[in-house]
Amino acid sequence: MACSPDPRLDLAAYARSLDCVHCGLCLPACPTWQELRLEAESPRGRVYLMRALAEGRVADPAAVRPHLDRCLDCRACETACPSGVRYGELIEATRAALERTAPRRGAAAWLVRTLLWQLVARQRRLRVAFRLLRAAEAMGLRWLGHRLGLLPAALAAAPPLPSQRAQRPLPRGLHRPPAGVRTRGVRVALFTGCVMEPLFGRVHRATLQVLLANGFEVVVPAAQRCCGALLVHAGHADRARELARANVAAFAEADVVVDNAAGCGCALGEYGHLLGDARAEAFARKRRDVTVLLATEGLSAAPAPCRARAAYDDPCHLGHGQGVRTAPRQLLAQVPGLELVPHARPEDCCGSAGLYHLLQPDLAGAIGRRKAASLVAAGVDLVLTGNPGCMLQIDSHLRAAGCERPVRHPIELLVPAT
Amino acid sequence: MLRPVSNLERELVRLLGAQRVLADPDSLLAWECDGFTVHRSRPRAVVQPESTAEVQAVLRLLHAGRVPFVPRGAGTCLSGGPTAGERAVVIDLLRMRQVLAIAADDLYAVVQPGVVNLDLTAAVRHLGLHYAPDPSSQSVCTIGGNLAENSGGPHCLKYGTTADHVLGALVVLPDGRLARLGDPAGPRPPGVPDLPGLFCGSEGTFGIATEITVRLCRDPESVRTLLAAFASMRDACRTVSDIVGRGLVPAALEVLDQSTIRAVEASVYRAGYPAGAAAVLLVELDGPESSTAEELEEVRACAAGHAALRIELASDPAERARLWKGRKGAFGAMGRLATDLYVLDGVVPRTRLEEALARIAAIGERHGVVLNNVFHAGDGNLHPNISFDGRDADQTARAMAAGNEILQVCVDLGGSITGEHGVGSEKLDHIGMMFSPTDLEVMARVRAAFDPDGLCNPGKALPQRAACAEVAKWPQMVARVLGEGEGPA
Amino acid sequence: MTAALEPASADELAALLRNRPGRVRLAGSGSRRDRLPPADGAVEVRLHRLAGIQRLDAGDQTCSVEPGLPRERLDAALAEKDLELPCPGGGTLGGLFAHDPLGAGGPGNVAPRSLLLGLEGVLADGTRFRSGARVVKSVAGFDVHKLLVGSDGRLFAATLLHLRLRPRPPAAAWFRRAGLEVAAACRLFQALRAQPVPPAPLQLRRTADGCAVTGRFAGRAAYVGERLRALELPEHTPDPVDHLAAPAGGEVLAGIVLPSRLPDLLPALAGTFVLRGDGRFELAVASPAAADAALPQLAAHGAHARIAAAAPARRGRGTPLDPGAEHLLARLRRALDPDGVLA
Repeated sequence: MACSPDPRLDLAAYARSLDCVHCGLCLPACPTWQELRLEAESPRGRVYLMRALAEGRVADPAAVRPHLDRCLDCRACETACPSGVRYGELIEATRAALERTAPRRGAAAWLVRTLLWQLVARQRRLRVAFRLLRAAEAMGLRWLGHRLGLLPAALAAAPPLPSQRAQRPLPRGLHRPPAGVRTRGVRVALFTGCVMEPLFGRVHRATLQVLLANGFEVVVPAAQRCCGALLVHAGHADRARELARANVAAFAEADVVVDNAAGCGCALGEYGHLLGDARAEAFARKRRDVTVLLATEGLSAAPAPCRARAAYDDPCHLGHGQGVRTAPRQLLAQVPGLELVPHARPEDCCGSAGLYHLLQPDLAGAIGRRKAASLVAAGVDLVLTGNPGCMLQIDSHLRAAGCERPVRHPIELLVPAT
Repeated sequence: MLRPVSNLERELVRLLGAQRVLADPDSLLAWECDGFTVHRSRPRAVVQPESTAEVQAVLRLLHAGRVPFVPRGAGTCLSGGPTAGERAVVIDLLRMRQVLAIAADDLYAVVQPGVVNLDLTAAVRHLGLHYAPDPSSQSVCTIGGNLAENSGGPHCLKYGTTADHVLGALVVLPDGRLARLGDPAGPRPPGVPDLPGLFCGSEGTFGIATEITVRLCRDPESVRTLLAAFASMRDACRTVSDIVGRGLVPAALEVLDQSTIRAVEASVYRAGYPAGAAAVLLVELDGPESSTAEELEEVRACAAGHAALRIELASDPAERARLWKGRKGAFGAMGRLATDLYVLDGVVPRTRLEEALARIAAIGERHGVVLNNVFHAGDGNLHPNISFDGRDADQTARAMAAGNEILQVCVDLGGSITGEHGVGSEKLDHIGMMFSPTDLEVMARVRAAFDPDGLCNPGKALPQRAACAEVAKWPQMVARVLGEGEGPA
Repeated sequence: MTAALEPASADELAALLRNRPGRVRLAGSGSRRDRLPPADGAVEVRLHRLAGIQRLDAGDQTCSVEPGLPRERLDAALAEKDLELPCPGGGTLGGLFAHDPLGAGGPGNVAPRSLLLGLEGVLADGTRFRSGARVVKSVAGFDVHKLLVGSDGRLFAATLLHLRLRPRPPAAAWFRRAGLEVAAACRLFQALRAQPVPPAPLQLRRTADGCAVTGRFAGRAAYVGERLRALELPEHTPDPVDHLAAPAGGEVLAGIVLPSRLPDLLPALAGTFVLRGDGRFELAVASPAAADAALPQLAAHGAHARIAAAAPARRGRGTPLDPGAEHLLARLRRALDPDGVLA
């Protein structure tokens, strides 16, 4: 009955799955378990299924794949795990192995490949695509398509794009602090990623502005590319490695690499594991989230006042993925007039999770509604979170709940008054 | 006698809808075991009813087809209780997660079985109330599972185990019939013996409780948590004896030994326990402000009298949470030591702790196994944890042999083979250490009053008679797991 | 009832039962005899000679006692070790667990099921068995011993009880607030029940003179004094009532009720009434007719009750039992005493 063990499954990942002693403390941390209450939709259940896959005990891998697909890869389970199971590595390796041995077919697979291979990984095409999408949205085509049933469910469920005029990309090259700002003599290289630029160009501009105002020299390498996180999550590790190598090379000169998207930052931090070479490891060591850099070095330029009751929501790949929880809060506490209000379960995933909200619209919707409800209950008038996908998802679910609130990246609040 | 699988499946889907019936054999692997991973067996199907009526409908169907079934909560049981036999259907109760009633004036709540222990406390916190029994897995384990196992936890020293907090239960008997045991006003209407007390701890073999009435407790005025580190386990044990001997009743008295401390400190549950100590004692005192202040000084004196290396007092709730975090994550943290963990649950009289631990250590050495102790010292409830690699037959055999001897020591000292984890499938071979065949026969008669057809979680809690082919015996189980579970070469 | 048999040991009791003496009514000292339904033609088997303290482990705070041991003798032995059995009730220990006043745990009252750690017993056919353990915590085997609690001796006989003890509190003080209206008494009673450490025992009593709330605060001396002052409770000599006596020609009903139902229920019921902190009550009424009238009133307020003290033929009547529980109870009786020996 059992098929033979698949030799291509990552043995290192298998060994890590043995760390799981089946205690179950991860279950309540998992958004899909909270929603579905099924063992197979929990981290413990998925680790068990992955272990069974590696042991060759699964007769038909296609049968367990939906359970693995429903994982958000939010890493909340890693925060909860007393045994130190590195779940993220495990699910990514398993997805990669499954994709190699049994590549996915059908509409969802087409969507993933198109989005990831054709667009996300190619900056210029991505910008064009977003321009087209915005135009379509402005003409009400989404509404029409939805009414006529022309859009696949996944796209119909996608959150609306922020209404923002297409922005020019951040100028590449070196930027120096403006006159009158005392330079720290520290040069940082800014990672710009793929979707942040066309979606939230303002976040990049704010990041640049804050860094310069605080006396950092900023270089934006021209040869950098997408981080590859979405490819890794979807099991396309080989393609991700190409991008990773390009980035390691692009940032070879830099002493410090700064990023401002939690998902990218987490992926960059795992380049050592992805590429398995010393250069990649050195790269991973020198990168940090912009809030970590600023919190460690200290703000020298006071942020502009902002009178608001705000909630800070931890992006999964910052909190669970990088263990960064205090830095953004510590910086936001320095914004004059800003009151940080606690809300229930700030570390829970919002359901965005890369392409997840497109591929698992029902589940992502349920998880997003839960997040919106907790923010609404806290009675805030501003939401802060440091990842473009989360910003979109939270914004869309707050609107759906009839409680539209501005959703901002923390760095946007650190811009000094001019 | 058996219906064909497809028919049963179709009927279950008719009752619950396709979403809540799982029968794909590969997905069912996830339900193969609970927290005791040595025994594994894939169920025939998993169903998720959402109401009492649905549980009744499912049990009527299964009863008519004489299909065995196993109730299951969050699967954190440590004795194989919810592990299903191959022919059995798992009744997964996790979707029954509503708090049905909260009566703050009469101090009780009615909950569905799938409500998570800590979620119940969260639901009544704003009233200044809590649900007292607190198993280490309380963030995930369910009230239904707690009821089935009569779960304990650190604070059971003062407040009692689950049985002390269950007032009543609406039970679907294995034939689908309903019985209301106890009442919110009390577990025992006049003229009826303590049926909820009997049901509690029946390990899912008496039926399925679909509404559980539990007592709520008023939050204490003050809580003081103290950590004392010792250079020897003996000093820690003697401190415990002194505290109990002085007539103090702490809310909790917990001990962790050196290797447990190390494992915890290496994990995300790190609590700042002193790494060099041979034993750490956690004492929690609760009650009126003035009383805990006095008691604290007495406890401090006890610890100092036994040469405590360090005494640390949690100064605020965050500190207290930190000290407890390590204790609650201790079991999972053992995963850092080896791939598999055999958690024992023996009990000895509190006066025999020191002797028991010395004998346990000797057994561990003789069998050459990695052994840690983390235990509810105030109750004499030991948790020797044996770490081993389940893929290695020799290691597994040695772990099991050492476990066997340790339980015999507990019984010899006048104690029990299990204080709170249950017999399940794990301790079927050990229950004979405590009970004669006649004792077990009397228990079997009681069980038969609830489940004459033997369909409800068969093969658990009591050894079945030798004639029955379904007996899940240890050595065979271990062999099967080893045969099936070998990793890639 | 024919003459009583008085075995002096568990062996004698087992042998006696194996000899098939016909129907048997188990009794301790016999103090509750007039509160049980009649057992016509049954032999009374009195266990009062099984009265030893087999083991008292002060360090472990547990003991093993025979069922015929009088409560006062155990209390005296425990007092020497600064220990107590933290529950009310008198008579023999076996009777205490098998019969009435116990059952419900409640705020400030330890559930008797948690004091009874295990037992050795004899089935109606003379089969000896054990259940539970001697230590304070054990979940090995099904808890057959818990069936003793409230069984009225109709499921099996206990021959040795393993009990959990508690240290005696360093200080204790009784209080009594009398002359209260029903509503005020109920409020005070609920407020006391909701104390973080409620008084135990705690009683609300209604007599012809009005309502009184009485109880005992225990703990550290400072705390006890502070509570009495804060709640303005006058100290008083201990006067808990285990049972009400039936007035001439009248009857006593016993049962359980949610305290929150009392303000509505109590004015509708005539007669002396006692409610304990655990929700267990007794009501003494002037006549059988008044008892019959009270039962539907009680049922309407969610209470369960039955006639305890009355003419033999009327004992045991009460509010309806849940049919499922009744069905189970009948099956348990058949399982443990298939020939219906224990009356």
